[in-house]
Parts: sequence; C-alpha cells; structure tokens
Amino acid sequence: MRRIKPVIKVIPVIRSATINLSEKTIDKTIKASSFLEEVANFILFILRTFKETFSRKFEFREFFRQCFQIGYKSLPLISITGAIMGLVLTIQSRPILVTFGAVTLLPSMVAISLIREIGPVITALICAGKIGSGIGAELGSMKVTEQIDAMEVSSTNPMRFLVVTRVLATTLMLPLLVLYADAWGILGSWIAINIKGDVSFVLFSSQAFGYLKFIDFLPAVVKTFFFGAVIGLVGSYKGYTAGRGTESVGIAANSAVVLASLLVIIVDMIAVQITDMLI
Amino acid sequence: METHSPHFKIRLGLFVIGGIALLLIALFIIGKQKNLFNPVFKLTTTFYSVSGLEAGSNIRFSGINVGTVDNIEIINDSTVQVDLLIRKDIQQFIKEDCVANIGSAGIIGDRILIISQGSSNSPIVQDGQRIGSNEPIETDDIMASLQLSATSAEIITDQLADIMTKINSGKGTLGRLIHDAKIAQDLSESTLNLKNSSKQIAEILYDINNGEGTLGRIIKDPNIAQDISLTMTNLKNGSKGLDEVIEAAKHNILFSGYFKKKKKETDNESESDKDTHRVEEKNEQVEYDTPLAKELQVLASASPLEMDSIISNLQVTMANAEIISKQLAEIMIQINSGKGTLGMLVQDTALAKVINQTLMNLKSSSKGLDDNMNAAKENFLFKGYYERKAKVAEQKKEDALKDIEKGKKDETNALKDRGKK
Repeated sequence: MRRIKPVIKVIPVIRSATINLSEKTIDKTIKASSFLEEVANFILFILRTFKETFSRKFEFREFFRQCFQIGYKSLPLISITGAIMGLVLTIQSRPILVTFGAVTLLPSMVAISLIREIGPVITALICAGKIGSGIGAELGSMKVTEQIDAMEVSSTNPMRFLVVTRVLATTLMLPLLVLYADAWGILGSWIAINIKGDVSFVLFSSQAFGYLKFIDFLPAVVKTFFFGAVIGLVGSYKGYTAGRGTESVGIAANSAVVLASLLVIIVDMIAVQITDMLI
Repeated sequence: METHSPHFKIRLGLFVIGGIALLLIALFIIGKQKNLFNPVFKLTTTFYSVSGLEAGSNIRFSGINVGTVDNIEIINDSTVQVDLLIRKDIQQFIKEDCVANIGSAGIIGDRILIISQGSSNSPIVQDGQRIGSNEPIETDDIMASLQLSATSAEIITDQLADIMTKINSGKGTLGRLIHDAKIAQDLSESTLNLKNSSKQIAEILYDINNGEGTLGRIIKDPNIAQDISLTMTNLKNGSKGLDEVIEAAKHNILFSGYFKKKKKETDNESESDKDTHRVEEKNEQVEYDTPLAKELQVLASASPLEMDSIISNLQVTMANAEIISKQLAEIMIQINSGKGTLGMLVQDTALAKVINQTLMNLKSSSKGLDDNMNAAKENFLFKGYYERKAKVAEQKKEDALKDIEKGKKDETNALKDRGKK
C-alpha cells in the first residue's frame, strides 16, 4: 500500500508524545477490531458465496441431497411445532376476544398472526437451531479433519460444493417449511376452537381466510427466503471458519445457532419495517 | 479471505455495521412518517376536547383513510390544537368550509378524525390552513340523553299500564266492550237477528220471484195484471160517469142550493188555509232553509257538552236500532210463517185467490156502475144536463171543424197567390 507523505510538517513535540492506554482499553480495542474483522469476513464470505452461486459448474446432486436433508427431514419437527403454535395461540387469544364479544374473529386473527409473523419467525428460529447447528457442526468437523483443505488440494471448490449448495437449499426450503408450518398451525387452531366449541372446518376456514388478503401473505413469504439464506450462510460461515481444535466444532455449532437466530430477528425487524412502509 | 489486510477488514466491518445501523434508523424514521413517499400537506384544527384522539390516528374523508393526525398539543386552557397530515392528491377535494369531527371506528371504538364534505362553490384549502371543527359527543352526554329517554319511557309505560289495568277491570268504553258479557250478548243477538231478518227477506223475495203468494202473483201473473188494468179502466169510466152525474145534480133544481152553499164554505176555508201556509213558509225561510241545514246548524253550534248528549242520543239510537232489528226479525218470521195480514198476503195462496175473485167482482161491479150511469143519463132528472152537455160538446166540435176548414181555405188561397205570382 502506498503511503502519502503529509504536506504539513508535524510538530516534533507531538510526534515524540506517547499515549498511555490501560490493558483493559487495549483489550476492548482488540475485541472491537476483531469483531469488525469478523463482520468483514462474514460479508466477504457472503460475497464469495454469491459469486460462486452463479459460477458455471453447479453441484445439482449435492443441492438436491441438501434439500432432502434440510427440507424433508425437518418436516416432523415443523409439523409438531406449527400445530402447537396454532393451538396455543388460539387458546391464549380466546379470553380477550370473549371479553370483546368477538370470538368469531378468532380464526381470522390466528390465521393472520400465523401467516404474517409467528409462522415465519418461529419456523426460522427452529430451523436456525436444527439446520444452522447441523451445517456449522458438519462443516466445522470437516474443517477440523482437514477435509476442506483436502478438497481444495484435489481441485474441488469447497465453497461451491459445500457452502453454495447448503445456502441455496436453506433459502429455497425454508419458505416451504414455513407454509407447511402455517397449515399445521391453522389446523391446530381449529382443534383448539373445537375444544371449547363446535365449529366445522368449512366454517372455520371461511372465517380464517375471510379477512386474509394477498398482501398479508406475500411479504411473509418473501422474508422467509432471507431467513433461509441467513441460516444457511451463518451455519456455513461458522463451520467453514472453525478453528483447528476439536472443541471448535462445538463452538462453531453453538455460535451458528446464536448468530443465525439473532440475524433472523434483525432481518424480520427490517422486513416488517419495509412492509409497513410500503403498504 | 486471507488476501485482505486487517485494516481493510476493520473498515469493511465498520462500513457494514454503520450501514445496517443507518438502514434501521432510516426505516424507523420512514415508519414513523408513513407518508414520506407520498406527498402530504398540513392542516390544523382546534377542539375543546379531542375525546381520546391520538397522534397517528387515521383521518377519514368520504369514508376513506386520507392521512394521519400528526400532532396534538394543548395551546391554552380551553383549546387543543390538532395538526393533520393529509395526502396531497386529496387536497383538491377538501374545501375551506370542510369541518373536522371526531368519530370512532371499529368495535372497540378507536378514535378517528373525520373531515366532512365541503360545499362545491367553496375554494380549495391551502397548505397549513385552519379548518373548522365540531365538538365530539362524549359518551357521558349520550348516557345522560339516554337516561332522559328512559325516564320518559318509564312514564309512558306507567300510563299505558294504567290504561291497560282500567281496560282489564272493565272500566270505560273499551273496558266494557271487552269485558261486559251483556254488550257482547246484545251485539251477538243483534247480529243474529239481522242474519235471520236477511234470511227471511231473502225467502220472501224468492217466493215473490217464483210467483208464490199474493204479492208474487200480483207481480208475476199476467192475468191478474190484465184484470187490474181492466178494473182500473172500468173504475175510471165509472168515476167519470159519477162525476157527470154529480155535475148534473149541481145544475138540478133540487140540489143546486146545497152545492152553492158548500162551494161558499170551501172557498172560505181555502183562503184561510192559504194565509196560514204563507205565514209558516215565511217563518221557515227565516230560520232554516232546509231540514238538513237545520240539523247541520244544530251540530255545528253544539258545544262539547252538547256533543256528549249527542253521543248519548246516538247510543240510544243504536239501542233502538237493535230493538228495531229484533222487531223486524220477528215481523219477518211472522210474515214468513203466514201470520198477520201481510204474512197472509204473502204466504196464503187461498187469500190470493179470494183477492183475485174480489178483483173480478170489482171488475163486474164497475161494469154495472157504468151501466147505471148510462141509465142515469136517460133519467128525466138528469136528462136536461146531459142534453146541454151534449149540445156544448157538439158546438165545440163544429167550431173545431170550422177552424180546420178555414185553415185549409187559407192555405189554398196562399197557394193560389203564390201560383199567380
């Protein structure tokens, strides 16, 4: 890097002066700089992944395998979680609607809550736990056992084979998982309503979808693509950048879940703000 | 990754963190003012009380959400200023005489600001202009009004209950009508009597139409009609003859004195009758023109007290009508059963035969009378009168013939004159 010589002559007194920093300050500064470096590394990782995604050779086989692993294998967990979400939300919302004499609005209220916010976020958080940690641990162990280095040596692009396929798989599978969870959630809500009363599924669905508009559905689906991308990217990044020791596998998995969950919430906040602004 | 220096990475990290922070701040600022991308204009209005309106509440115009309440602040002890942000494209529809009202939306009653429609000839509002407002109706005021209505309703229901109690206890006209069994019985009897009467009349009319009974035969039997016609002709002739006889008697020496005396008496009586009749007519004309007018005049001049007496009279009349209908029914029953003169007349066919015979007898007797009259004409006592009368009649006949002949001659003369001309 070329150094530019200052035009103004610096006073010798200042040049010779030293700044005394405490150990704590130095430690904090190092931590801050390492955090910023970490952020930069993550951004650079994202850019590289993005670049590799549109490269010529695409690992379709690995991509479909990851879709199966991430999507299909998550279905039981998502089904149970979704149904319980709908059930609990309905039971909890019922008393306040009874106070206002608006129990008939319960299905539509639950449907809107599930589709707009709760379904995508809860599903994304569960996926962050299950998929994010899985990717982080898998790639971390590969890193620890130097499999990734071996791939690089054998002229196989580990980014393209390991990272791009996983990130794309999570990006595409998560919206489907969210829709699936929404469906189970609405079913759970119907079950909850039938615990207290007797409502046919036809009447329930007409009440549930009566107030639901396409504008409620579209932003919710769009943001789930970002949630999926975040989970895939964070998991892959944490695994890919894991340390050399065996304990780094656990650290990678753990930090992947934490960071993915945090980023999902931040992305959701931004998405909600944008949605609110546009509509 | 390894190609980038730590300094570059720190700068990149700072840029990303700063960028995300800026994005969030920008989004929240945009979120606070939703109308950042839609141009808006500002209006202000003042209220004494905003009744729970808050900054951010919707503004409605023609039922459409057109903006939000920007700010609410108290400017003095009795005035609250409300700043409104309204979409710029709506400005052309909001006129200077539009008025801001505070209403509620939804079942929970969130407060909204409603801008009423202005008049078409009023100018369009300018940015920052103040518009008029109507004070919101507080729930307490509604409750107070409802309480007043409830009190009135209570009084009305009390009165109604009182009326119903009176009716139920059989007091007053309505009460008696509902509860008095006698009235109901009377009404029932009257109806029954009317029904019987109409039935009897129908039977009588049926009999008459079928030519049964005297009346029926009189109406339907052509022989009786012919007999009656002949009888009438004979009677007419007989009365004519009798008249002539009386006229002859007047001219006769034996009766002339009596007739003259009688004529004098009748003349005197008729004159006195005429005088009294004139006086009565005059009196009637002064007071009332017709009997109907008289009744109307009485009704018109009737005071409320008199009206009561009229109503009581009407009640009596109604009672009489009931009795009359009852009596009529009895009469009809009697007639139908052939009792009494009319009944016999209608039902008794034997009587009809007797009447028929009587009429035949009358016919023959009137013929006899006619013969007697002819005999009287021949009698010496009346002969002179009949001869004079015949002479007068002949004279009249000759005069008439002469007139006709004269007329004919005049016509021929006139024709001749025309021919000559």
